[in-house]
Amino acid sequence: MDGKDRPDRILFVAIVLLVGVGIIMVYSSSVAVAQLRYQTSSFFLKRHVLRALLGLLAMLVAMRIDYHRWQKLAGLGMLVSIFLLSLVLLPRVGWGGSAKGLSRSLNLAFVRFQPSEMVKLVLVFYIARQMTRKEGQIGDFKEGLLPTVCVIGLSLVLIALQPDLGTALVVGMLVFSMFAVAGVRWIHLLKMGFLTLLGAATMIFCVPYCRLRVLSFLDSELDPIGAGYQIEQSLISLGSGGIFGVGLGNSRQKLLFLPEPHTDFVFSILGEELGFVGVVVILALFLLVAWRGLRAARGAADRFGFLMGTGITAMIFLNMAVNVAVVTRLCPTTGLTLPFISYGGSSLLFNLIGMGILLNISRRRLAGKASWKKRRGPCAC
Amino acid sequence: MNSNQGRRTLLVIALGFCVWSSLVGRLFFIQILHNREYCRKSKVQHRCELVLNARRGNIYDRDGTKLVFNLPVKSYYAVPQEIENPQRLGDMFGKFLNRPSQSIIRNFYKKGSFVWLTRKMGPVESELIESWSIPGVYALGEMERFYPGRSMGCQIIGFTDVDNSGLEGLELQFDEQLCGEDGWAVVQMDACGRKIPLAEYPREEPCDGHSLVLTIQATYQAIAEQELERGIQDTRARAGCVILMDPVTGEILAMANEPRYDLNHPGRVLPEWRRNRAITDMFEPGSTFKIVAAAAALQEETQKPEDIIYCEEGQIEVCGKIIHDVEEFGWLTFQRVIEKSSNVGVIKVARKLGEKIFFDYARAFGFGNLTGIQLPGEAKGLLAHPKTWSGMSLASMAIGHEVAVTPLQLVCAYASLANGGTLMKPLIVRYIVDGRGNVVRNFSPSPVRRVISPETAAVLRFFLAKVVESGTGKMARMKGLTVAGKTGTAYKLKENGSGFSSNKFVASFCGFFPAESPRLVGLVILDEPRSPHSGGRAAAPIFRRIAERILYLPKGPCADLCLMTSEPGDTSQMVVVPSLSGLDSSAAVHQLQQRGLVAELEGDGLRVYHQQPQTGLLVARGETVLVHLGDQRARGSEPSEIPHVVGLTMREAIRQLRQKELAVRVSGSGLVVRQTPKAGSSIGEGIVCHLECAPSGGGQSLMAVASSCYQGVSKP
Repeated sequence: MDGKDRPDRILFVAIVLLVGVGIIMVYSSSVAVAQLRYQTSSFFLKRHVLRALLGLLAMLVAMRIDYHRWQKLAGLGMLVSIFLLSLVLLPRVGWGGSAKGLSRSLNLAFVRFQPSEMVKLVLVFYIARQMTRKEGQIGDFKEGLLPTVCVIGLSLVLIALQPDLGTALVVGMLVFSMFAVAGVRWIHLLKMGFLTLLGAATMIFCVPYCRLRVLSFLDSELDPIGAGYQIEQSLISLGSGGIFGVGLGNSRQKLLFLPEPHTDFVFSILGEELGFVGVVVILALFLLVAWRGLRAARGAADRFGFLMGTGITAMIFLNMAVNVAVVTRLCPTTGLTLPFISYGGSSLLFNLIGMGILLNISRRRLAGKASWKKRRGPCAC
Repeated sequence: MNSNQGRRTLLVIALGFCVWSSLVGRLFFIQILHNREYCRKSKVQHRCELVLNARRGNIYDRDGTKLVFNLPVKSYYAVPQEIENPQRLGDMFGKFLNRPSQSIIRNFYKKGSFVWLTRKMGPVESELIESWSIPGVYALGEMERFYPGRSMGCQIIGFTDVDNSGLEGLELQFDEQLCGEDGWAVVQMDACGRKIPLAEYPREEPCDGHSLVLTIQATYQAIAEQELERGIQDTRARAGCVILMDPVTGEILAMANEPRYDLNHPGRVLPEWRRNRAITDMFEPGSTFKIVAAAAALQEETQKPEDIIYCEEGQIEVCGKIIHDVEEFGWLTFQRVIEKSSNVGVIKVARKLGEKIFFDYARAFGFGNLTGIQLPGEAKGLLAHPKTWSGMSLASMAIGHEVAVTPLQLVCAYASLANGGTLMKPLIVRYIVDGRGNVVRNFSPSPVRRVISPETAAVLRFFLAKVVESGTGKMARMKGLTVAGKTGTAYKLKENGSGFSSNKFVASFCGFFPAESPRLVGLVILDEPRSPHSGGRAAAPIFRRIAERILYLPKGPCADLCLMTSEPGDTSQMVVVPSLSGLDSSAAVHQLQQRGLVAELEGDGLRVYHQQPQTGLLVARGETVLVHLGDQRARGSEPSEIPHVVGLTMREAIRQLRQKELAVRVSGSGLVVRQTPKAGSSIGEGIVCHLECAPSGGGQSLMAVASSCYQGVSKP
């Protein structure tokens, strides 16, 4: 590594900014809930700061680890992921304390841990590795794709069974975008897409919880005190923010009107307190992250780096997009967090690890002689 | 391959950018385009505005006596979620409020976190309730309107509802000014309904209501009400009203209605009792309306005061109907027509005027129009336009039928005679003042229009003085003061509208004093008095009693009137010598002692036949009154002496001299300053007393105009 092999500073700053905004917003939005549940308004803040520091540390560590190492861990990671996802489904192990009776996390001694957050990242490694290995056979469905697709499909089904349709949706889109970028034939993509949609449809109509969410999305009157209420409150939050917002800390919706104000719906509180301007700034930061991420990916020394970078960027971006779509009532409520900003240890930790890897990729852009940069397509980033 | 990869990346980027843009677009749609809608929704669900009640203004009389003010009271409410034992709470309050406990407990199970238990408890009740210390019961400080005068001026003042907004009278009319502006404090409410106080939240301090200063004089009002009540008892009338007004300014000094009710408990009375009859009730005024024809005739010079009118021996035919007089009169002067209240004479006067002019004058006096008093619910009265009149109308109207007037209109019309011809807008609220006593709004006296000339007014005052002196209004006569006025006795229309009732009357007396320069106009109206039923005998005595009591008051708008009956000096220590004539010695002594005078008895008779100083004279308290006792027989046989009349008003002097059957000749007007022959000289045949008079107060020169008329008085 020579002196020029520095991680992308803009990307780094953007991430740190987002994490910083996250700390502020988690505190602002959780005051009332913390006061109510734990009698101390800084309960969530303290924990979030701790996790953010831990996450940033993890990012810094990941930034220094050569990303090629992950390639070797991908297979093992996938196995562990599938194991953990199955564990969550077991009634005793899965954390059943959730208000909605859903089990998405594991009680690991002293921390609750959401495997699906890890799975997203591991899937990126796995797909990147598979697509790198099978670069030559990518046009051949049976040889090149089927083993990968089977593993992915299994984990997707396990996630969907939790049920966590939001993550399943993000993972699905992530897989397709990675496949698309990796060069899978359109016809194969279409077929798989069709199958996935069929599966999703079956899922939606068979699981009452999912059906309710979709139906209440289509008609908010249907479930006015459940998901419909939540989304209505979210819109009230955003809508009452206006252009410049009601001012930091002045949100009224966080006073227990909006459920989950510091996790899934932190964006609504952000929109209320900082207004359209604040919201667009945050979205622009995400766009910046995506741009710098893709730039790093395209400048990566090898195909694995390119696919990893694209995948991680897509993961963050899709997570963000689905979360914002949920709070703006563009898609049914999913339970996805807003990357970097929402309160939630697993998601913050794995997203920051992902960023660390991305930063590492950005650092390696000139390392290989056969740099992708020299052979890249017409798109100049 | 690689260019393919590049294209694919580009596609993914494009898709991502599309997604991003649509998110921004969606946020623009929600946050900017629909901002107001969501703001409203947001406000509805978590703004809880606590009302900070403004203190309602007080109402004062013209001297600053509080007629209405606020008392701090406590209201109790329950928060059902916090009640531990609803049954106990229900029982406690049920017993306290004398209500079945179930009716209280039931409310606890309704939706909401706020249930009124009882409102506006005084300190004693509050202490009791607080001694129970029931969890979930809270007190809220409130203000309650308190009317210390209870029923005094109830129809004028009106009352408020439990939330202190005006429902009747001045409380209603000036509600906006009285109530002030409530302040508010925004309290944040969370989804659980708890209030979260936040320092930076807006807060608007309440702006206390303004207070009203009335033109009403509380003592006058009380006197008017007491005397009216007594008069109603005496005559067994159904209802009645009295208005006292300052004719110069149009200020109403008292407005009494009977029956009354306690303003502190307004819910307990019939709505009918709450009506302010003085402005809402219309009645056919009868003879009191005759001044319209008289004023018009004098002003238009169709009649001169000394003109004589043939009264057709008591009946006149109008359109086939015969209108009678009470007595059969032959030839009467115009002044005597009014004095005797001859219907025939007035009808003839009105006919000479013509419909148009008569109507114009009736309008000019304010009949058929709102007076514009600052009270709610004023009636306009009925005054038909000549176009719709029948052949009977002019004659009927001239004697006060076929028109309907409110008591206030009538009093205003008389006030315009009293003040020299200007119709004044009646005033009841003089000032609106803020909490620190600064005048926010000043309602100054405002003339509506000049109706008649001062000269005409002076002549009419003389006419009306004659009514009281020797006509139908004799019962309103007072010692030491000339009263002018007119009586009215109108048959009431039958309930079904078919003609007049034969035994139901409205008796009225409208008058003013002193006649020379009136300071007070008063109207007494009795609705359906049984006996006596005539204005002269039922209403006029009430007027007199009110006036007498008012004149004895040391304070008030008419306090300085005493000056006019004697030399200037300290009047607060002055008393009027009562009439002792005919009383036995003990009664006479009692009468004098009551007024703080010392009696010195002379002679050995049973009854008083002479006194020194004279009746009606104003003397200092503690003065000795010489009382001559003798028997009736002796009085007649003793040679009479010319009484002492210096210092009396001209009218009183004339009255006293005429009692002794003396001829009087007057020069000047006002108070008697010299008399010849001297007092105490014996009365002989053919003696003519010369009285020299001089004005003692302002405005008396008006009387000089009418002095030519007075010359006639001197002829026995």
